[in-house]
Amino acid sequence: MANFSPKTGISIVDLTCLPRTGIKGKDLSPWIQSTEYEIGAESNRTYLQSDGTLVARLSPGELMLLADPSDPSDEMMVFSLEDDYQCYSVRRQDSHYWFSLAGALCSDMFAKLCGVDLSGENFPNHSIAQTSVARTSAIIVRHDSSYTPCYHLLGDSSTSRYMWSCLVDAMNEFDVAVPPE
Amino acid sequence: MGNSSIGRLPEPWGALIDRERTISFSFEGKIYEGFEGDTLASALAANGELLLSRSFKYHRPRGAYTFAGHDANSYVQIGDEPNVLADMLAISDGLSASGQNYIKSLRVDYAAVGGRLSRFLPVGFYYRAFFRPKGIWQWWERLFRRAAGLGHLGRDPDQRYFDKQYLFIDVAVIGAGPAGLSAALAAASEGATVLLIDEAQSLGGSLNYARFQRDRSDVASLREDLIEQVTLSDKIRILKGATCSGWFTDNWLAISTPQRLFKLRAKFVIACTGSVEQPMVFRNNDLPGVLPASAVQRLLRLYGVRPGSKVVVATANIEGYDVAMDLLDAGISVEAVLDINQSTSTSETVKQLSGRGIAVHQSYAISEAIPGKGMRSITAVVINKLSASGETTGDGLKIDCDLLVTSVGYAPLGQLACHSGGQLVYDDDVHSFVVHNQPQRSALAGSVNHRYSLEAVLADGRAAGLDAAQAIGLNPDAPTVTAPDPGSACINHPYPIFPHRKGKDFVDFDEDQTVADLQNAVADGFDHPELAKRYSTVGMGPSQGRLSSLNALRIVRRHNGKNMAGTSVTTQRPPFRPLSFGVLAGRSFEPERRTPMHDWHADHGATFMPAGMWQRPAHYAGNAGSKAQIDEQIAEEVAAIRTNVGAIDVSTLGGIEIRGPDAAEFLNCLYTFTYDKQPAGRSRYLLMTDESGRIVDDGVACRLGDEHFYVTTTTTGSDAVYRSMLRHNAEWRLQVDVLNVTSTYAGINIAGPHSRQVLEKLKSDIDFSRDTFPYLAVRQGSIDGHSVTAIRVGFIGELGYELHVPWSQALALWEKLFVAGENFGIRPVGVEAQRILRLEKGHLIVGQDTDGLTMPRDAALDWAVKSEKPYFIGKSALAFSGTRPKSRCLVGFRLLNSCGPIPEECHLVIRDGEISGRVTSVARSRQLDEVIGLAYVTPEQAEVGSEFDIKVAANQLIRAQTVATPFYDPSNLRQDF
Repeated sequence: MANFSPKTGISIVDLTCLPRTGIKGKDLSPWIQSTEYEIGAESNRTYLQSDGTLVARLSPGELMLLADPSDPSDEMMVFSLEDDYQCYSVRRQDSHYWFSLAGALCSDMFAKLCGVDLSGENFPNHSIAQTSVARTSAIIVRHDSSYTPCYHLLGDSSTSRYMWSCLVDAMNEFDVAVPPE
Repeated sequence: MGNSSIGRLPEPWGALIDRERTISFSFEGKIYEGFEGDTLASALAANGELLLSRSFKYHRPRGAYTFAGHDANSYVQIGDEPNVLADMLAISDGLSASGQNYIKSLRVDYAAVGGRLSRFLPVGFYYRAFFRPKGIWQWWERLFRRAAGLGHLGRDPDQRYFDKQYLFIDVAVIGAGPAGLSAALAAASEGATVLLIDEAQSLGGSLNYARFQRDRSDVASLREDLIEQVTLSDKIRILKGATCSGWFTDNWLAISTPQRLFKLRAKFVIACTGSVEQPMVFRNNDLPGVLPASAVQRLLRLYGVRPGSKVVVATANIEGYDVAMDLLDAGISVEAVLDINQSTSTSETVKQLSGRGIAVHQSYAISEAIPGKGMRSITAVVINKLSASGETTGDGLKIDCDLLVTSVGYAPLGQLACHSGGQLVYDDDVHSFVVHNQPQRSALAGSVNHRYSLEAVLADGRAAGLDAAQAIGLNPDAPTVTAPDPGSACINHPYPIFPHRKGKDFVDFDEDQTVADLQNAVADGFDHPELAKRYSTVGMGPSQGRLSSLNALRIVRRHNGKNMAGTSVTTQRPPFRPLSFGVLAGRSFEPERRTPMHDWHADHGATFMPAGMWQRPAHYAGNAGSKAQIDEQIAEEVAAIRTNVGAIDVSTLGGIEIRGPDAAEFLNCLYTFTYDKQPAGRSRYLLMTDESGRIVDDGVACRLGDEHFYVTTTTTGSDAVYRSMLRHNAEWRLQVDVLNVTSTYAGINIAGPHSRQVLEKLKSDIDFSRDTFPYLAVRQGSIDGHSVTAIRVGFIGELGYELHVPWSQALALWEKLFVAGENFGIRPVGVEAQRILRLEKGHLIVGQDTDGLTMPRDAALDWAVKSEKPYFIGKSALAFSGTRPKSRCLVGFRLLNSCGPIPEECHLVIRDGEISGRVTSVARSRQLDEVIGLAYVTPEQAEVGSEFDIKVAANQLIRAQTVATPFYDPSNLRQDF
């Protein structure tokens, strides 16, 4: 890992322990307006909040919130869901693993596992793909860090071990930074 | 021994080889040396070994023909891998190769005697032989099966690593010859991203070896210039050593490399796949020592191989003169040049050739090649004057030579375009095939598009590149049309076929089909190319007709007297080249789901079994080896639940939350039972049928609030149920939200007479006492700090609780339960024990005890169907089926002799010698000291006390008796403990 370069390699880190949550329901848009979140109407893209929380709009009726990996806080994971809105919490903390991959060659690596073009301008920063990765459902969120392409990968908790092994296997041909298990 | 006249040329001949790096390899057990950059075929040729293989039918000696991987002559065996193209395989140190399809040795093949019997093996003979007298075919079949196929496949698994990768690009350019390089640069210049794909490791295609009727140094300079531009372009990605194996709908291209298959999506495809030089047909035209001009140029320029010392060139176009010039430049003697055209060429090259003292025989053709020893080479050719009609006349003139070079034209390599809807159709103007019905958003450029002069090829490539840019919206004003190459009509001879009265004038090298074979096929009435192909098998060999279809079509049409224009050849199918199964399979992804307690189970001796994608503990027998030991462990796990306490990991059950004002109504419509009056804090059985009334799933609905249900499904049915819910929610437009929480909550079933006591040892705000938490009740609270939804369940017939706990907290709670239960001797219990426990209670498992035809009444589940409801999925079908008599019933049974053989699941129930049902579940119950099970039987056999037979292994019938269920605790007292 000492010689790892994000320009030539790929790093992977397991963020599953970090806070994340979700909310869904047909009244999501009016609920958003009742809050201080700054979230656009466009689906399948992310909206970075001032506190570092990354809001992923998965559909007109569903959001996923990811804590800032550099400053995780449990507070943002608490919603006040009033009865006025048909909106319901989603325990993303338990339902989904959260891996983060960074490096210029990430899209090449993902191309071994996923049929969606995640490269460059075809999948720009803030994009979201809800697709199949290594034959399991997954959410891919692009959220670059300091000009380095970064992809958050979230999928079913029960497949986390399987997915980790698939990713490490796919990364083998690149300059890789994988934390020891 | 090899041909001593063959060897290496000095530099600069051999652009691809590195003479500083010698590589040692073996062929047929003999050690050879070659240079890095050599293919197996070129290195052997440099050592004087042209013989590579034996033909399929007559076992004739064959050598590589095209030196470009287009003929099966160059198939060799590498270890366990057959049919490797020797002219595409780079040599490496220690490489060990051998020939194929021979008896004794490649040089001396006993099976070659078959060639002498060829007169007794006319075309289509196998359709008319081997079936008389009756029964004789079985004898012949063994013989043919031994003779069929080429090479041998290893029986051991291939341990090499294969995988697949998607690629996405604006423009895919297949082939990096002059047209491809030009096309790539043009498309990139307009801003398109380009993937340039080539089979070779060296870009340039024909620029690497062809002369293009000019000074060779000019061609080489152009090549270097184009390659430099392509390499420097940040828009162009180059993929060398990669074959486009298939071109499918919407420009989905399969690009294969030795150990990876790329799945490419391109907005536009430019096929610059080139063309393959066609054979001239004459007697012994298949022998080593007869080569097309482009193959000779490849040997000279790419590998520095001197292919012979005395050469005769037979040509129908200017390119034959080019190769004669090349041979002279290489210091090789050209004995004669034959021009099979009637008119004399006046090109500058011809004049140069004449100026170098080479005899040009105008209007002559080859009638025969004279074989050398063992037919492994040639020693001379016989040439004959051509008549006005193009037939050979006179006695012929013999010219000594060890190499015959032919140049009679090309067939376009349009196979890829045909994969995606194109068609190769004969065109009289170019005397060859052209591609019709070209796929949308694609272009052809270069010789595949019948451009042969260098200027025309480069212009065609550039136009295709601009066309691509325009098509993907980058430059709407790009010019896209190029004029045809005026010289293209002079490249292909219309009928370079000169039959010999003694035969062996091969049209198809793969299948050893001769001119006479095709003539006979037509005479037998198979006078359409499609029919002649099937009757004669011409074009059906591994080369897919690349070297035979054109000449075969010419022969068929000449002999049936019909015009060839517009005639198509048979369908070209992927792959373009043979692919290994490893490349096709790639890396297989087999998703596996694990519960949070998976590692705990493994640490405690669990043996896992698959349940859909899940891995579940079957039992905890550890390293127990024998079935008896495993059965004993399972029995102990059953006993733990019946007499003490055990815990089962039920995290694999599906979990779905239904939330919203219409949640109860949603379940009413989805399931057969009613839920609108189900009180909060209670659970209720769920049974789901499809539109035809067949059982598809079951589970439990827990009402957590007026507008909130937590629904469980079967382990393997959760995804299908969830999809069904989403679909119906969209259709019905009820006020509900559906959320799959299967992996949000893990599940622990703690059961047994002491289960309550174990739970009560942990700090909890849930009162687990019998009166406050009765059977089927649901409570939410916390246990030792872990939030849980607890359900009183009875699936396995004992006091039991299902604890549904957030995924991330499940392992901690599981471990705490085992600490709390230590004094009670709590045990983990696997699926095998769970199945016995539920069977003792007579509970069915959907999918095991039901099938695609099971309706609720078949399985005695009528009680779970509320027909009075206005609607549920399958209601009308169930109402209709209720008017018809039952045909089968799922019943409990016991074996009359519990010490005898035990049936297995799916063993048949027999009545009067006929099948009347089948066993769905069976187990030996130590609790009951009986073998019990569930089986489908006829309504008559369903009467309690009825007896029936079950057919077990070896056709043995064993007697069973229908009994009432539950087998165990019929009053359900223990689960209400």
